[in-house]
Amino acid sequence: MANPSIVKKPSAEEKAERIGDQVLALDVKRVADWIQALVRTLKAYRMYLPNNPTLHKFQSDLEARTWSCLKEIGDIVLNVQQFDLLFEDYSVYHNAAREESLAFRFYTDGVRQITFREGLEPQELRGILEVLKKATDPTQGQDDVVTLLWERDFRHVEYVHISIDEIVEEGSGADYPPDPNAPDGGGIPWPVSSVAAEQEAPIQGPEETVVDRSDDWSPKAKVEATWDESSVGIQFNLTDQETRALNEAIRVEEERPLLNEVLEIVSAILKSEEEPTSFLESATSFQKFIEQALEEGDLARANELLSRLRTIAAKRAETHGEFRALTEQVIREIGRPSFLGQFAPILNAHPELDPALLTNFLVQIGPTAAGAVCDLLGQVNHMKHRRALCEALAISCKDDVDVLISRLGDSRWYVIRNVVYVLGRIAHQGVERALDRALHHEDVRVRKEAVRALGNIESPTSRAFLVSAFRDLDASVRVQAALTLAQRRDDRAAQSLWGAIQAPDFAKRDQAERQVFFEALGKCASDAFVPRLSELITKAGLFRGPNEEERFSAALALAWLGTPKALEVLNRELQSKKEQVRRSIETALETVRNAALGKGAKGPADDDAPAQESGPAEGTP
Amino acid sequence: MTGPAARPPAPHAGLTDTPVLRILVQGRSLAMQLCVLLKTAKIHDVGNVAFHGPLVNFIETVEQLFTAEGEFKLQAVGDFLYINQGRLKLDGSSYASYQYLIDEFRNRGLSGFAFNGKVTPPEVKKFVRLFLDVDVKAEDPYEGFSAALLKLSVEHLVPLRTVVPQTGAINVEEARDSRKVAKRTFYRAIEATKTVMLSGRDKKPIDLRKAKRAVQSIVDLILNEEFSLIGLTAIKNHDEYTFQHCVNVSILSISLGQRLGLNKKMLGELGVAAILHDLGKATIPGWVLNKPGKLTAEEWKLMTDHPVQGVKMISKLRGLNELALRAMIVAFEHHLNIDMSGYPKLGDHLAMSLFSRIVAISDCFDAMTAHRSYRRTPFTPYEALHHMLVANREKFDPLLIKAFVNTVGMYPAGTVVLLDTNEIGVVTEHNSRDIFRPKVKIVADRDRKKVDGALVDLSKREEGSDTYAVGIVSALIPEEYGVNVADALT
Repeated sequence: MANPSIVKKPSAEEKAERIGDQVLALDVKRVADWIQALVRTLKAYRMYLPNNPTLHKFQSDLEARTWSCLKEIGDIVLNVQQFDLLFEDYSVYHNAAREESLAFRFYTDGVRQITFREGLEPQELRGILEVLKKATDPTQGQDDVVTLLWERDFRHVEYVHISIDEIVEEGSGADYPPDPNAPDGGGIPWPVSSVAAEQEAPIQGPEETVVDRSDDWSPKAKVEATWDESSVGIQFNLTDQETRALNEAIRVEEERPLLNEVLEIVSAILKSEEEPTSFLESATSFQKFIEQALEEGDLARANELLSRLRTIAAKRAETHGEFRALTEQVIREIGRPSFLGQFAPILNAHPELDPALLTNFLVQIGPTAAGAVCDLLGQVNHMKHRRALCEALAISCKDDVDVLISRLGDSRWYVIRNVVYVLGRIAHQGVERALDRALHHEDVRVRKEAVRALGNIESPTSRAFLVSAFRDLDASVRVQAALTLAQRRDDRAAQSLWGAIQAPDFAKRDQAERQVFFEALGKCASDAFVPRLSELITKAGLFRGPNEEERFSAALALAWLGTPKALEVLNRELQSKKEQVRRSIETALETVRNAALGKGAKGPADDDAPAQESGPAEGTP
Repeated sequence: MTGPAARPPAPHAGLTDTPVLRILVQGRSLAMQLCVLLKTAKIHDVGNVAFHGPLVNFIETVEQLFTAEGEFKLQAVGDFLYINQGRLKLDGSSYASYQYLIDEFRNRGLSGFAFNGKVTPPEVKKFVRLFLDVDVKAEDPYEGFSAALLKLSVEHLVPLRTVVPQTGAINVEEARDSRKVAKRTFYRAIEATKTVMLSGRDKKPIDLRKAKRAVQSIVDLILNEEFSLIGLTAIKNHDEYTFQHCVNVSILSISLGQRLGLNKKMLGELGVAAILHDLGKATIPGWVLNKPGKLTAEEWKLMTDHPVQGVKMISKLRGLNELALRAMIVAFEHHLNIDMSGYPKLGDHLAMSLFSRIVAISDCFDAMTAHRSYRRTPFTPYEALHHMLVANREKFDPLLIKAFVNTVGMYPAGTVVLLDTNEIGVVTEHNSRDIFRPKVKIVADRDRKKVDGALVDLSKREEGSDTYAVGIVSALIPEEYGVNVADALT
C-alpha cells in the first residue's frame, strides 16, 4: 500500500502546465492593472486641464504600465463583451454601469476586439485617450469609437468591429421602406423615370419665364465618339510644376480657416434672406455657431458673433421690421437653461476666461437668461466669474426682478446671497419685502447680505427692515445693520440707533458691538445729539460697570460726528480735571484719525462680500 | 485615334413591357419574403405564431407568380438573384436580403429553387425546417437536402444544384469575395445616404455615423485598391438616383483625392462632404426635380437654393467639427465654377476650396452619365469626360480635371466601346499607366451576338511586337446596342 504522505512528483508536462498557469495569471493581473490605469487616466483627462500636474502623474503611470505590459506580454489582444474586456478569456475589466463602462462603450459602438501591438508609441497612447474621451463625450454627435479610431489610423492599434446595421437591430433605414406608390411631391427619391415624370409634370404656361436646368450639363455641341488628344492640345500627364501646384493646394486646404469661411457663408446667407421663415432658419444656424463658441470657451468669438448677428438683423430690419423680433427670439434661445447650464464646467475649467467678456455676453442675451445665470451662480467655482454673473444679472434684470426674487427660495444659501447682492445692486424699490425674507434666512451670511442690499434702497420700508435687523440674533448682522443705516446720514437713522442704544438689552451686548453702534450714531447724527452725548461723557451710569467705556463710546460718536459743536465739547473735555475723561477723549480722537487715514483693522462688513471664493464654491455640489 | 467612326447596327434591346416588370416586382417580394421566412425560423419554431405572417405572405406570392408564369425559378447567378430570366434589381434596401439568400443557397450547394406548383403551409414548413437543418459542412449538402425533401413529399419546391466553375475556382472565389465586399460597401453607403437625406427632408436629427463608417470603408477599399469601386458608380439605379448619385460623387471624389495624395483623414472628410453635397435637394419638391423640361423662374430659384439649404441642414448637425465645416463649404460651393460663375452668388466669395473643386468635377461627371428626367439618354462616361475637358473646361480646375482623367481613365469604367476587332466591350477598369487603354469585358462578338466574353487588357501588345493587340475605335451609347453595363461590371 502506498504511503499517503508521499506526494507524487509532477511530471515535466504537469510542471510546465503549472508554470504556464502561473505566468498566465500574472499576465492577466498585469493587463487588468494596466486597464485600471487607463480608466483612471481617462477620468483625469475629463477632470483636469491638460497642463495639470495631477494629470501628468496619471499619464506617466499609465505610460510606464503600458510599456512594461507590452514588453512582458507582447501584443495585448482584448475581446470585447457587453460589460467586460477579456484577455485570454479572463475578464480583466468589468463595469456594468452603462454611462461609464469602457467595455460597454466599445461594445455599443460595435468594437469586438482591440489589439495593442508592441511598439505602441506615446503619442498613440495619448491618441487613444483622446479617442475615448471624445467617444464618451455626450456633446459630440457624429462619431463613435470606430470612426474615431479610423481617423487616427494608429499604427499599433488594431480593432475588429461590426457594422452599425448589425448593432442596431432595426437600422434607421428601416424607417423608410421603399414605397413605389409614394406621391412625388415629397422631395426625394427622384427621378422615378423620365417618362413618368414627363407625364406628371405641371403644364407650363406660355407666359412663364423659362430657364435652363441648374443641373443640366448637356453639351451644346455634339461630342465626338473618339478622342484626339492633339486636336485640343491637352496633355494628360501632370508636369512636375503642376504636381507641385496640387501639393500646394492640398497644403492650403489643410490650413484653411474653415470656421471663418463658414461664418462668412452663413452671414452672407443671413443677409440674403427675404422670408421670415428662412431668416429665422438662417439665424438659428448662426445661433449654433454662437453656442459652439461658448462651448469651446471662446467668449470673444461668442461676443463677436452675437454682435454680428445683431448688426445683420438691424440692417435687414430696415426693410423687414419683423426680422428684429425673430433675431431677438433666436438670441433669447441661447439663454435657455438647458444650454447655459452646460456652461458651468467650461467656466470652471477655464479660470482665465475674461469676466468682462462673460458679463458682456450675458447682458447681450438679456433678461431671459436670468434663470439660467442664477443656476450658474450655484455651480461656478471662480469668484471673478461669479462676480461677472452677478454683474450681468444686475444689468439684465434691472427692469424685471421677478426672476431674481423667485430665486430667493433656492435651497443653497450661496445662491440666495448672490441673488440678494444683485437685488441690492439693482436697488429696486418694491423688493424690500423679498429682502425681508432674506433677512430672516437661517444663514447669517444671507442675512448680512440682505442688510447690505436694503442699505442700497432708499425707502421707508427698507429703513424699517434695517432697524428690525438690530434685533437679529447674530451680532455681525446687527453691526452691519447699524453701519448700513448710518449711511443714511439723517436724524431718523440716528434716532433709530439712539433707540437701540437706549434699549434695555443694549448693555448686554459685547463691547465691540456697542462701540460700533456709537460709531454709527456719530456718522449719521446731527448737532441735535451733541448734548445727549456730552452728558454721557460727563455723567455715568448708563452701562453697568466702570464708566470709562461709556465715556469712550460717547466721545467716539462725537469724534465721528466731527461738527464744530461736537469738537467744541471734545476740546472742552480734553481740559477736564479727570484723567479718565481726558484719556477717553484722546483715544476716541486717535481712533477716528486712524480710521480716516486708513489705518487699523478692516471693517467687519467687508469680510464676506458676495461672489468671493468662500461663497458659492463652499456649497457647490 | 482620329475622327468619329460609324456606329455599328444595334442588336435587339431588352423587353420592358409591363408583365415582365410585374414579375420582377413579385420576384423581389418572393426573395424578400423567403429571407424573412428563413430568418424567422432561425429564431422561432415553424409552429410559432410569429412564423404565420411570413408564411402566408410567401404562399400568396408563390401563388401569384405561379398563376402568372406557370413554373418559375428563383436562382442566384453570380451576385444576383434572378426570377426566371429576369434579374432582380439590387438597391440599398434589398441588398442585405438578397445577399443573405445568395449565401444561404451557396452554402447548401444550391443555385436556387424551381416552383412547379402552388405550395401549402405544411409543405413550406417542412421545406424551411429541412433547409435550415442542412449540414453545410457535408461533402454534398445538396444531395442530402434534395433527398430529404422528396422523402417528406415536398414536391413543389425543387432545389437546383449550383454549377461549380471548372477552372480557377479559387481565384473566382477570391475575386467574388473582393467584389462582394465592394458591393456591400457600396450598397451600405447608399442606405446610409438615404437615411441621412430622408432625415434631412423630414427635419429629423441627422446621424452621420452610418455615413461616416460607409465612407471610411470606401476609403479603405480605394486605398487598398482591392476592387474598382469606380466601376460600381457606372451602374445607375434610377429608383435610388439621388442617393446613389451622392455615393458615386463620394467614390469619385475620394478616388481623385487619393490620386492627389490626400491623407486618410482628409479622404474621409472629403467622402462625407461629397455624400452631403446635395443634401439641400431634399427640400425641393419631386416634381421640380423630375421636371423634364425647362424650369420656371420660381422653380429655378428653388433649384438654385439647394446649396444654401444644404448649408442650413448641415449646420443642424450635432457638433460643428472640421468635417461639418468642410461639408458646409462643399454644399455651398459645389455649383460654383472655378471662375466663380455659377451659383449661389452671395457675399464676397473669392475662391472655391479644393474639396469643392473636386466634388464639382465628380458631381458633373456622375450627373452627366445618369438618366435624368430632362434627358432621355445619358451621356456615356467617355462623352461626359470629353464635354468637361473641352466644352466646359473653363468651369473646372484645369489641374484637377487632368488628375481626374488620370483617375478614371479616358474611357472610364462603364463606357461601352467598339474595338478594332469589331467586338463590343464594356470598360471595367482603367489602366493607370495608359489612360487610353483600359481593361475591357467583351459583351458582343464581331457579329453583334451577345457573349460572356473575356476580359481584355488593351495595354497588352502583340507577342514579339510593339503593336497593341487590340484598340478602341469609338465609344458607343449602350442603349443603342442593348448592352447592359451593370452585367459586365458586376
